[in-house]
Amino acid sequence: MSKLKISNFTVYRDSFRVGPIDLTADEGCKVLVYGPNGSGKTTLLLGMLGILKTSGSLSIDGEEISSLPVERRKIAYQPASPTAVPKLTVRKILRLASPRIDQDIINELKIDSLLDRTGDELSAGQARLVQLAAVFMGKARVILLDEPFSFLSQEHREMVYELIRKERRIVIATAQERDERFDLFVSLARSQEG
Amino acid sequence: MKEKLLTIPLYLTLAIFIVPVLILFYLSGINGILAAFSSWGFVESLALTFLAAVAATALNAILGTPVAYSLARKLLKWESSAYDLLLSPISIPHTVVGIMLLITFSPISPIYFITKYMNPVNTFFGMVLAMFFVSAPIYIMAMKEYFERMDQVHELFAMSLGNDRLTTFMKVVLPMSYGSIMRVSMISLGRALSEFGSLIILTYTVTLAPLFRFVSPATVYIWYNYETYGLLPALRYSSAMLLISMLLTLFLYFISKRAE
Repeated sequence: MSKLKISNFTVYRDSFRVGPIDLTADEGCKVLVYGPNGSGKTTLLLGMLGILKTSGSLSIDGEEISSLPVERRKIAYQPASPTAVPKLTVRKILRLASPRIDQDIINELKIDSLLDRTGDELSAGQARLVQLAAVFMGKARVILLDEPFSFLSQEHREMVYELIRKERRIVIATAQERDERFDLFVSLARSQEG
Repeated sequence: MKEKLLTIPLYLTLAIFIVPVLILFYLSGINGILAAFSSWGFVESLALTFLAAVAATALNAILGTPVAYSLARKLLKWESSAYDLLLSPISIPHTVVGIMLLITFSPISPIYFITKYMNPVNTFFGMVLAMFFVSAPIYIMAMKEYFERMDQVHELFAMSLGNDRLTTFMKVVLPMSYGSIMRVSMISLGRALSEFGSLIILTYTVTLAPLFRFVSPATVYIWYNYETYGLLPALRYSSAMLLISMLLTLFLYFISKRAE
């Protein structure tokens, strides 16, 4: 059973600082990080990935991961920008996550028809769905979703909500505002300035 | 009106580049170019030069692309010093490059016990080495700038999915970069083709059995004809070489556009 523990965790981006944050999330827990533009939502996620300077502790299942490189943290990241890897077919993008493509996720997000198209041939919404499919297909223990619902139609948003709801791993998503409709996000972490 | 003043340096610079080219073609004429191509000595010199330049450019792409990526992503702790070191050949006169390479592989070299197995003097290897030496800094500099400008979000995405840096480079970065690799290779090829200073010292004539026997690189061949027979043959060979270079540049430009 996966357990994410963040203690006194602060992320630094030049003179900007997010934190300190304390959070404990058990397997299957969905965390929403919400706040206005510039409040540091993405900064926090990048800090968890090890891209920005951090202090404090970040552990999964008791293993301290704050000094590990991004590829060994087992934290999958869906970036906020709705772009899929250009020049690679969707099939190849998904294989970055797993050699075996999970047909259930493909069907659930209805991206079967996109598999042979390249990343630069996709619309913003389609690229978002491909990013989400990849992170859910991977073997990461924690999934970070940066503004996962932006650029999606209402129908697709519902599909993504459903995917998150069914996910048994820890999911941390960001959004502009707290939205009570999404009460499947059981824990909240608030980013702060200064 | 004031805006138009800004375009004057552009037209002036274009004129500095284009006018000598036009005069060269005008004075040699079609017949002069055809006469150059009817000279077997020139044709094989051109063939040797292109072969060596393509080999040097391929070496640039194979070695220079990962080097530029490592520098752009600061994978080395001494990245800044390494970059300065790699760019230093730009400021070294090319005759000096020729001398440096010559003595490195000569019996007076302190590392001759290693270099004695390789002979750059009047060999195809020496020609490729000299061309690589002078074109690699240009390739690395241009590719490093490209990688620095590249949005790193796709790399981060791939690495967060568990792919290490090398896999991400091979599977994500390279496919995205083919167009730029082609475009920068084109510049690097042009630099290799135009090399003269180091080649005249290191590879005055090259033997590469069974293809070439005592063949000079094209730039050396043109210089030799100018020194020995005067302006007219040098003019013809220069315009013929320029024409081929321009056609090749155009061809590679279209290939890089397609790759992009």
